Parts: sequence; C-alpha cells; structure tokens
Amino acid sequence: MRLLSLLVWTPAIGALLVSALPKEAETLMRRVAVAASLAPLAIGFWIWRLFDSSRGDFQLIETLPWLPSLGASYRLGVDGISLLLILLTVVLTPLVLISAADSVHKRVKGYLVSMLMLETTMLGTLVAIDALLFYVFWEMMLIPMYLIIGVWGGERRMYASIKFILFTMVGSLPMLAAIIYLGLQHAEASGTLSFALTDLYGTQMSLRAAQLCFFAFFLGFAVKVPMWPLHTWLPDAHVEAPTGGSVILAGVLLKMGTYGFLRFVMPLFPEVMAGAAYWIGALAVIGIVYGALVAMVQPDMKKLVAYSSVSHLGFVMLGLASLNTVGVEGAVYQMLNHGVSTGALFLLVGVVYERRHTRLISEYGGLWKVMPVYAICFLIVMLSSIGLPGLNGFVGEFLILMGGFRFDKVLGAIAVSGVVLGAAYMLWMYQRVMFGPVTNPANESMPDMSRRELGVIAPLIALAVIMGVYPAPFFDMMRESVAATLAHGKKGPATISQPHAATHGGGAHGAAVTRGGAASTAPGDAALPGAASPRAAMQAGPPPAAGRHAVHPVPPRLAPRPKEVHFSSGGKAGATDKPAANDLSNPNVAIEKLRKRLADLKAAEQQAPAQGKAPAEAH
Amino acid sequence: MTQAMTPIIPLLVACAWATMVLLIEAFSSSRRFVGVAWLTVVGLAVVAALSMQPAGDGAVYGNAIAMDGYAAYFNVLACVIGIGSVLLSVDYLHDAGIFQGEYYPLMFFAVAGVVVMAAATDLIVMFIGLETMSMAVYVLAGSLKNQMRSNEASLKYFLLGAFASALLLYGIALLYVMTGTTVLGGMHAALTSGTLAGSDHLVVVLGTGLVLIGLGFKIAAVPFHLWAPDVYEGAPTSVTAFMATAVKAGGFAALLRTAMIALAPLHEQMMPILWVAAAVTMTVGNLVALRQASLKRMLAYSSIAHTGYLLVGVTAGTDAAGAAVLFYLAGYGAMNLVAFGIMCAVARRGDARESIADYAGLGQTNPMLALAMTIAMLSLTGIPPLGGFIGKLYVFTAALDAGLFWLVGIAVFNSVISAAYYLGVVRTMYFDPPAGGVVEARPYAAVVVAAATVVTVLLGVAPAPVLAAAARAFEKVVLGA
Repeated sequence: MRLLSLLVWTPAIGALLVSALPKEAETLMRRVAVAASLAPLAIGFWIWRLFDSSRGDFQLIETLPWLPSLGASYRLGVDGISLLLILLTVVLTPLVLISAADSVHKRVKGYLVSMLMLETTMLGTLVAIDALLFYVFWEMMLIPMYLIIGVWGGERRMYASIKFILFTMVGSLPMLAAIIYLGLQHAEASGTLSFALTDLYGTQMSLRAAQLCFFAFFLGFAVKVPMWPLHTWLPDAHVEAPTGGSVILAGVLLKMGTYGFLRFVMPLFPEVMAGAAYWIGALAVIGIVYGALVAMVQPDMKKLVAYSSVSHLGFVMLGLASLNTVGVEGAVYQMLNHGVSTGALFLLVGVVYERRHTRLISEYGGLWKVMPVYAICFLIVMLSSIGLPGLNGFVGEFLILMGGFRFDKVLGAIAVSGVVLGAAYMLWMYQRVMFGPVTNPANESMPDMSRRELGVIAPLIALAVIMGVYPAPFFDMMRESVAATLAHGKKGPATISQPHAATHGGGAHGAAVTRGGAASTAPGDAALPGAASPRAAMQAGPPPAAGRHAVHPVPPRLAPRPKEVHFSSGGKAGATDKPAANDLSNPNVAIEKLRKRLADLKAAEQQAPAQGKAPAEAH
Repeated sequence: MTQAMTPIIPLLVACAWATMVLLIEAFSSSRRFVGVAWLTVVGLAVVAALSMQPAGDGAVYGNAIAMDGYAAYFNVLACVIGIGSVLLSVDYLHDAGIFQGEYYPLMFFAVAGVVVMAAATDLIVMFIGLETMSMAVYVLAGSLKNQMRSNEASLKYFLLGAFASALLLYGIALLYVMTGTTVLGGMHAALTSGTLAGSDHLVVVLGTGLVLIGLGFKIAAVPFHLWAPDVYEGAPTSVTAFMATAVKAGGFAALLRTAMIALAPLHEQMMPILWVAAAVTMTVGNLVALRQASLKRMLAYSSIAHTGYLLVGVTAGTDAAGAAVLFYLAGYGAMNLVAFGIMCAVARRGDARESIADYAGLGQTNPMLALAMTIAMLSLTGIPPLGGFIGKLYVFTAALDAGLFWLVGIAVFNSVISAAYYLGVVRTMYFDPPAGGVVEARPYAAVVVAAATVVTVLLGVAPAPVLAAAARAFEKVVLGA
C-alpha cells in the first residue's frame, strides 16, 4: 500500500477532476474540491494510526527510481515531526476550501485547482526524504501560491506576488547548489551518488564547505520562515492574498522553513549549527520584538496578524536555535499552534472583510454588540494566539522560553517581552474592534457569522482547546523524532547517544505526559480523539518507572564526555540556579532534571487554565 | 563503394529528399503548400528513423565524417525539431502572407546542414555543414519579403555570419598550419604528442580561439550575440523557432566535438575564455531580457542566456557535462517550441501578437494555451519538475563536480533573475484582464504545442531514457584517425 503517495496525489487527482468540470457547474466544483481535500484528511489519520511513535526514524518508506544516473529517487517517508505538519495541512486545506464559498467568487475553478495543487506540493515537501525530490516539491509549491496571490489578491497583488516568488527563489536556488554539492561529497566518500536524506546525514566535508552549504540552506529556509530581516515579503503577501491564501501561507507554508531547519540544517551541519545557534537565536529574538512592535502600530487587521506571524515564528526559531530537547519540542508544537491560531485569525478577519470590504481597525468598533458570536470566536482565537494558559499557544511558548532561557538567559529574557507585547497588540486591537459604541453606521446591520463560517472556525477552536489542555498525544508523536534530529549533533560514541535517547523516550517525559494527562481529564476530555487515550495510557505504563530509574544509573560519566556544543550553554545556565553541580557535570542528567521540573510546572499550569478560562469565556 | 556509403545514408536521403521536395513544389500548382509541408515532415521522419542506429564506429571518406552515436543523437534531435518547425509554419506562413514554396525544402537543407555539422570529423566538412545550414537560414530569415525588418534580419544575419565564417576559416587554417591536418583525430594526436614548441602552441591556441568565435557566433554567445535579437525579431516566428533550437543545437554539436573532445588537450588554456564567456553570456542575456516588451525579443535574449548555461557545461569539459549539455539541448528545444509555437498559433494577418501585452488574459480566453505557455516559462526558469530543471540540474551537477563553484553560483543567481521576466509572462496571462475575445489556436500549431508541452513535462518527470541516450552519445565519440 503506497499510503504516502496516495496522500500526496489525491489532491492532484481532485484538481484534475475539478478542471474537467464545465465552467457553469460551480457548486459541483466546490463540492468535488472539498471532497478531494477530505480524502487526504482521512488518509492522514490512517497514517497516524499506522505510525509507530516509539521510533525516531523514517517510516512507511516508498521508493521508486527517478534519476538513476544521479542517484536521486522518488523516496517518501514520515517521522513524527513531518506527520504532525501533515495533519495540520490536511486539516487546514478542507477548511480553506469550504470557506472559499464565501470569499472567492471570480474564476472559481482556477482557485480550487490552485489550492488542491498547493496541497499536493505541500504534502510532497513534507514526505519527501530525498533531497532533490524535496527541492522539486519545494519549488513547485511556489507556483500555485503565486497564482493565488496574483489572481485573487488585492490591489497590489502584482507587486506582492512577484516579491513573494523572487524572495523565495533567491533563497532556494543556492540551496539547490548546496544539495548537489552534498550529494557529490557523499559520492566522494562512499562511491555512490545518492540524495537520500539518510545517506546525506553524516556526510564528511571540510569546515569551510560545511559553512557555505549551511549558509545556502539557511538562506533558503530563513526567507521562508521568515526570519528578520528577510521578512519583508510576508506582510505584502498576506495583505494582498485572499483569505484562503493567507490561511495556507501562514498556516503551512511558513512552517516549511522551520521544517527545513529541522530536517536539513540541524542534522546535516550539527557543528556549524551549534556555532551559529547564538546568532540565529539573536535574529529570532529581534524578530520576536520587532514583529510585535510593528504589529502594534498597524491600522490594518491583516497586516497586524501578518506581523504577529513574524513575531511568533521568531519564537519557533528561538526554540530551534536553543538546540535542547525542551526548546525544539516546544518549537515543533508552536509550529502547529501558529498554524491553528493564525489560520483561524485570518479566517476571522476574512469574515468581516467579506461584509465590509475593509480591514482597517478604525472602520470598526462595537462589534461585540452587533456580532456576539463572532466576538466570542475572535476572543478565544486571540487568546490562543497570545498564549493564555489552557489554550494551545501557551504550551509552545512556555517550552520555547524554557529552552531559550537554558540556551541563553539574555535572549530568553528579551523573548519574554515578546509575550507581553503580543498580549498588548492583540488586546488593543480587540478592544478597538469589538468594544465601545458602534461608531460606524455601516456596521450596525452586519449579520453575525453564518453557519458555514462558524463550521469552519469551530474545528480550529476545538483544536486550540484540545492542544492547550491535552498536548500529550502530540508530544508522543514528535518525541523520538526530535531526539533523533538532535542526536545528529553528537560526535561521541554511539553508546552515549543511545541511552540518552532511551531515557528521553520512556523516562521523565513519559511521566510528565501522564501527569499532564491526568490533570487535564477534568476539564473536557469528551472531545478527545479516542485513539489518543490508550496511547497515553500505554506511555504511562511500565516504561516510565523503568526509564526513570534508568536515568540515574546510566550517567555516562564513565564514558568519555561527548563534545556537544549545544549542551554546554544549557549546562552553564543550569549551573547558576542549581547547586547540585556534580549532577550537572553530565549534561544529559542535567536535562533530565530540568525536564522533570518542567513537567511539574506544566502539570501545575495546566490546571490553572481550567479555572482561568471559564471566566474569560463568560465575560 | 556501396559499403562505404552505408554510414552516410541518412545524410544522402536528407539531401535527395530535400531536392525532390524542391522540384515537386516547383511543378505543383497549389498555393497553400500543405502537401509540400507534409512531404517534408515525412522526409525528416525517415531521416530520423535512419539515424536511430549509429552506423559503424569509424569515420569514413578519409576520416571526414562519422555517423556515430553522437551524430545520431543530434540527427534525431534536429529532425524532430525540424518536423515541429515545419508544422508550425503551415498556418503561420498563410497568415503572414508568405507564399514561397522553397520555404520547406530550405528548412530541410538546414537540417541536413546540422546533420553534417554533428557528424563531421574534419573541420572542413564541419565548415561545409555550417555553411549549408547558415545559407538556408539566411534566406529563411528574409522570407517575409515585403517587411523591412525581415529583410534587415536576413541581411544582418548574412553579413555578420559571413564575417564569423571568415574567422572560423582563419582559425581552421591556423590549426592546419600547426598540426598538419584538418582531421579532428589528427589534431588531437598532434596536441597530445607534445611535439609543439612554445610559440607554435600559441598559434594553436589562437586558432582554437578563432574557431570558438566562429561557432560562438552561431550559438549567440556574448559578445557575438548582437545579431540575435534583431534577427530573431525580424524573421518569421516559425523560422525564429527553428533558429533558436535547431541552429543552436547545430552550433553546439560542432562546438562539443571540436572544442570539448578533439581540442581537449587545450582545455586548460581554453577554460578561462569559456568561463568568462559563459558567465557574461548568461548575465547579459538575462539582464537585457528583463526590459523587453516584445515576447519575441525577450525569448531571443532568453535564448542567449541559455547559451550561457550550456557553456557552463562546456567549461566543465567532462563527459558527464557533455551528456548534460546534450540533454539540455533536447529540453531547451522542446520548451522553446512550445513558446514560439504558441506565438505562431495565435498570430494573424495584420496582428502578429508579438508583444507580451498581447497575451494579457490568455488564462481566460484560452486556458489550454495559457497552461502550455506557463509550463514553457516555468521550464525555462528551471522550476521542477520540468525538462528545463533537469537540464540545469545535470549541467550544474557536472560543473560542481568539475569544481566550478563560482560559475555555478553565477548561473544560480542568473536563474533567479530570469524568474522575474519569465514569470512576468505568466503574470500577464493570468493577472491582467483579457485584451480581446476568445483566442483560437491554429490547428497545426496547436498539435505541435501540445506535443512539445508533453515532451517538456516528460523530460522532467521521466528523463531517464533521454539521459541514457545522451550519455551513450558521449561514450564513444569518433574523431577519425
């Protein structure tokens, strides 16, 4: 069963079907398109069922020859990180296609075809585990997005679309050169030309070559994320894109950049990454603060959300740059959060835009009275974006800040201000749009959200709540893969990295998950997916106990201490606030300790929201 | 004697068939020449079929010509492009008001010229092939007799072409003086034997340089490209399509066998020249293309830019790079036939539709043509998974393998620049409101466009057979003893 191929190509088949329909049959077209995007949703969950989260390597691998003389092949596979992003993609796309019924009225067929092709290329990017195939999907992804912005966009769509594509290409073509170079280096070492990721990992090359390749990859992904100061295409693209385009752009496309860091930069160049981590973290923190400050002064709601994306993606990059398990797991989680929250925010901005054809904050005011349901939905989504405990944003931001502090205290401290600023610009916007008297007569007779609009937002709100109170299944899925990604940085003997991964897998973290899960059963687990509970129960079973005991006997102080640059700063930060220095001589143990503390904190925090959220909603 | 003739049967058939077409046309009374066109197509198909199998490993006629795998590849390529160009011409000539029956035989002769250039193992024979091809194309470029710019194109092409031919001949003469032969194999032997003294060596390098200039003119490498935009623009679009693809393939066929294989011992000395030529050619082509309002002229500069990418492969000089260049030429031919084919398909008498603005809203007025044009533009940009991407991928890989990091860097940067103007066409087609009503495509041209589009996509998705053919062509290139 070629499940991954099925996943990738069903939207494309749907696009073919839609394009074969006559121009007049608009309703039918829309239905076919939604159906074609629901199929990958089902396949995505099927893959989740088959996925073995106790392994950190690629699973469900498929291989077909493609360019035999270059050793490039059509090679697909998933790990926990890509699976999470796949699920995000297959959830968001049907919602966008459903909402298109409200927002897209001209050249409908082209829009649906572009959106479905975009889904195919996004999923392809996520499942490709051959570097060249990845590049193929990565570049193909640009074209439908270019058309979506350019054809269905706002007034300055020409400028925005060409800027979007040129920025991305400037980043990605050097990456192609770097990919080829890596393949050639691998061929030199092993005798066979191959672009399979598993072959490329661990390719030996001179430091200078590694630095150049790192820079090429960095540029490609940093533009996409986008990291400050390469972000300028993003606000333009968002403001001009139609609602659906913005949702997918913010929800999935930007994650491709951070995904690229996880999939390529961190495992391929661990040494260079460790050296550059501080600077990446610094850029990320600048992005956090800069994005938040600029968002504060935006008169246009969509632009405000766009700049908030710059800020949020800064958090993700900070988590990745921290290079410790907490930070990276938080970053992966925050990628999902941002997809859900910001996707929902763009959808909500689209709701009033369809009614008034303006997104200026000053045009609104007092919507709370006119559109109460809308105001409540907006409130929940906004709070999840701010990072209110109990909603999804909190978990991710908290872990990232945790990792960030251990990575570098100053950066962590500045990043925290981003959280405060984030609350400020969001709440201020909310206040201006929703509260006060209805000043603009045009707003007086606005209808509240329709059933369809509500139906599109509801799943995202549900996800925001679930991910806030019960994050365990998501962490279960990514844990081994994140460990495997970070393990590439270890140059020491294999015996060191093995127990390290094992303790992460079944040890303290497993216990934390159990406790978190238990704490969260109170507020509302009726909505939880059935599959998740037994999974968590399995994790909570015997392995944690065994694993936790195993943590202490293992101390690999006997073994030569591995030269792990990315742990040294963590150890340094930990040493200042923790007297048990003997434990800290081993970075792995230090991390376990912090992990446990974090787990406790998390469990405590997760109870708080249950109480904190209720008044917020009743307000 | 008959046995000695077997290898060159494709060539003989080509010349005989072209002559036959010429005679039949002269004595027929039809005014639309569709029959003549079909006769030409069948002839080209026969030549392609005959060339499929390389005939023998050696050079014949005093080491003058060798129908090896290398020649076979170019024969098939030139014939296929020829068929495409002929079919593009059928409706276009009628719309443009060209009623010269000799048009098709001339195109056939031009293909025969390419065949000779690809098969020549003697520089004199190569020169004959070059002139056969060029003479035919000079006339073809001027076939819009009542249009000034077509006349100008023809004259300009002829004068500059004659100048380049003279330089080429001078180069051949210098090489002959120093090595005592015009046979490629002999030259190769003389250069590798190390019998040349220091000053003699300089003359050899000079001769090689002049040969490169002569061929550089045909492939429109900077700074010998100045004729290209005017000639491409002035010539009938169907001829431009042929020039951009088949003539360029012919130029590279001669260039690769001469410069890359026979004169390989001089690669060290030639490398800096080729390096600079490649870098300058692609940069100039792309930068000037950015500012063009005419699609035809833009494609002319784009063709110059692609010469630059192809020269990157020549600069690398390895067998892998050679095979990559061969594949690139096939992909390049397919995508250019799509682009020029669409121009032919929508051209009407009095409304040539040659500016980019004429294609505004094509996405709504003719979605299929717009899709084909989009695929061509994306492929020219090098967006995967299309033929143009695989071509670039292989050329860049070979060049990186040869250590040409900076040159590949420049090529990559150029690809980004090129995205701006290629995507500009896509933007006009989809983002701008339509200028007129529904645009119908002429049937013959539509068939060519459809076929070439399919080939462009297939070369990207399943390039393995053509890649294998290109690699085989380079496996054993005959130079003659």
